[in-house]
Amino acid sequence: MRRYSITYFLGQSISGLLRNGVMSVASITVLMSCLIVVGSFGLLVLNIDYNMENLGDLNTISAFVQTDTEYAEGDEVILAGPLKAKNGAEFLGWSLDPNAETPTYAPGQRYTINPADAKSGKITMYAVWSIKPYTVDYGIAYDMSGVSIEGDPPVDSGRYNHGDEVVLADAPTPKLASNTFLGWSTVPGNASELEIMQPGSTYKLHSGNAVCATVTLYAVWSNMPVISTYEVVYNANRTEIEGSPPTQDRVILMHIAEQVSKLDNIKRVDLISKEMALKEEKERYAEYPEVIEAVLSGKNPYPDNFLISYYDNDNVATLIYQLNQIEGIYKVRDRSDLAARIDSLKSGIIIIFSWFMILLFVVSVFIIMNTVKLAVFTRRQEISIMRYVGATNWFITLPFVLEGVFIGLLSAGLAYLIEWYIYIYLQRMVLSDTIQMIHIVSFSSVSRWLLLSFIGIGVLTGVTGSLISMRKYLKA
Amino acid sequence: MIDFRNVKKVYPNGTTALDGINLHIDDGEFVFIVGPSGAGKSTLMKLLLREERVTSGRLTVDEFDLVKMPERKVPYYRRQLGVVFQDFRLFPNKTVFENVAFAMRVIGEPSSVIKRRVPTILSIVNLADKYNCYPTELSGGEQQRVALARALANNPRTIIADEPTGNIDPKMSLEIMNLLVKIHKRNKTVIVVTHEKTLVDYFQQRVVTIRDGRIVDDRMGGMF
Ligand SMILES: Nc1ncnc2c1ncn2[C@@H]1O[C@H](COP(=O)(O)OP(=O)(O)OP(=O)(O)O)[C@@H](O)[C@H]1O
Ligand SMILES: [Mg+2]
Repeated sequence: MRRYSITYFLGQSISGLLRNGVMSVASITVLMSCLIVVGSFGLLVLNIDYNMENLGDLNTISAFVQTDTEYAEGDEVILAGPLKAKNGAEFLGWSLDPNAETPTYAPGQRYTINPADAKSGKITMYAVWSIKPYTVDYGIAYDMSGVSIEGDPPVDSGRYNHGDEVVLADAPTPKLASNTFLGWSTVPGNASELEIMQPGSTYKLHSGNAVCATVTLYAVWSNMPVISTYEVVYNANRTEIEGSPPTQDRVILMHIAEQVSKLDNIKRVDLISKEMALKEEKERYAEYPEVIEAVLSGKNPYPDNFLISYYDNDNVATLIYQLNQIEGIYKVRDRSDLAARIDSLKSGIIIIFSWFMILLFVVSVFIIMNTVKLAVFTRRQEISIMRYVGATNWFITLPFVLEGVFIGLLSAGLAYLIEWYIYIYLQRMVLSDTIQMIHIVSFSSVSRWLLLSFIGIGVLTGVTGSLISMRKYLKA
Repeated sequence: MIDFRNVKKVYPNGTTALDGINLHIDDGEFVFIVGPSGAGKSTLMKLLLREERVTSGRLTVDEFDLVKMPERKVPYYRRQLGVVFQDFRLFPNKTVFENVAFAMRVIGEPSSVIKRRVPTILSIVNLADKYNCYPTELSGGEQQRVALARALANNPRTIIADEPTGNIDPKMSLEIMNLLVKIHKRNKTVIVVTHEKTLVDYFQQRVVTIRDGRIVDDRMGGMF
């Protein structure tokens, strides 16, 4: 049973360190300084990253979108894409006529606003299906004829047959008191007195009044508004579809999103709709709902916004140009400037840091090499006798390697304490600054990693230094 | 068993120290190696110690082939040998006991074994009472006996002594030589390089004479 005593190795290495005290102190000082520099740079980069995280992904562009869906005569409108029917019918396209067999417009095609197609300012695009839609009953819809009213327009969800008696909805209250409600009519626009029906009276449903199985009752006012803007609405045309029929602003947003996604260098495109933006803002100021209410006064000041993340910061100018070219995008805001500046700051620091690190490590290894060489030299006779009596290489080397380990450990411990002191001091200095723009990583959250890497790097350097200087003694 | 077969040793600077050496030494033999200065005697010892490697030829010691032996096996091979040098090579800051014990510690012998064995070995070399002295407190002959004790510490099969009496006065030389003979009688192979004609003549053992790197004479009970 061979037994090697640990105390022998420890004793040898510690006595070696003490015997060459000046060299040992020099090695520890240099290695310690090296670790402090490395640690400081590491913590600096860490803090930059930490602050960048708070800024979010800097490789993003906000593209603000105008979704004005009130069109004038002659405006061009992109039509919605295909719908999906639940009954398996194939979507053929859009038509202004609910009974058309063939579509007039393909999905995504452009349509030019023609007032003749409008009823009470609405141009309805009916879906044309491969299976002809068919319903036996009729619905009732109320149209306010372009006048703003208090509350919501009346709704009648009942189904009726030809000849059924329908009780007409109550009178809506106009926002402008100067306007008076006169009654309901099945004809849009100015109606003759004969055609006006009073709220609460009964209307005998006549299928000839129905379009697409719906009879629309138009409000008649004392001051009928002059209609000069038109909106486009989509109607699934008596066929059950997946989801609900599109609205024109959705159609515009989808169209823009599609064009943005096709550009180069795009990582992802997220839509932040005006509703979401408003909700977010309300949540942010959840503590002061009355302030929000007062400021916004029920309106949504936020535009729809695409948050576009991209990969490469270098080609961002091209991307911004291309985004500006897209119809509907009216403003592009990017953060590439900040991103580029922080990036170059970081890479600059890392380059300096790397060179410094290499330099200091070379110096450290060199000094440790010489320390160990000196220790080896003072014990050269001992080593040669060890060889003659059959000591193995590791037995001869171990005390010197341990010497390197001790230098590494002592340097790491001292460096850690000093780094700690410096960090806490600087942290207090930065945090006492009233504008707390800068966030500082807490020392306790990194202390373990710092100590471990100091020990790791320190011991590695120490061992490398010892092994290099021992190399020629490792031959028999 | 030591076997040199047509061994040649050329040093890196081009000096041919040994050439065409054929030498066979059986277990338990006592051999004097003699010859003029620069003949190659120390080189022969260094080859045996595997401190130097042969340039050509074969060299085997028991089961060890010194030509093919990988570096990492060398320490284990050396544990079969005990070495004594002209200049003692003791640690001045260690006691006699520690100097001998050192050889055992190096190969991981447990302390209990060391405490038991060192006094026994010191009594073989007649130094039992000096175990607590430092080398500087001893005469040359006594120092060489400590070195001899250290060589014996790990119970080697072979003792190699390169001019063990070179640094001590003639009266003491005989005592050292007597000890080597005593060790030889304990069934060990002993190889002694020496310049001392009178001692060689006195002991009447096998004498190998080397001159200019070649064995020129090898006989029992030989003379210088
Ligand atoms: N390390 C070396 N490098 C080069 N040449 C060497 C080396 N060691 C010895 N020599 C040469 O080899 C030859 C033999 O030397 P060696 O030491 O073996 O002689 P020796 O017989 O032991 O002599 P001495 O009786 O003086 O000790 C000599 O010419 C010497 O100069
Ligand atoms: Mg010699």
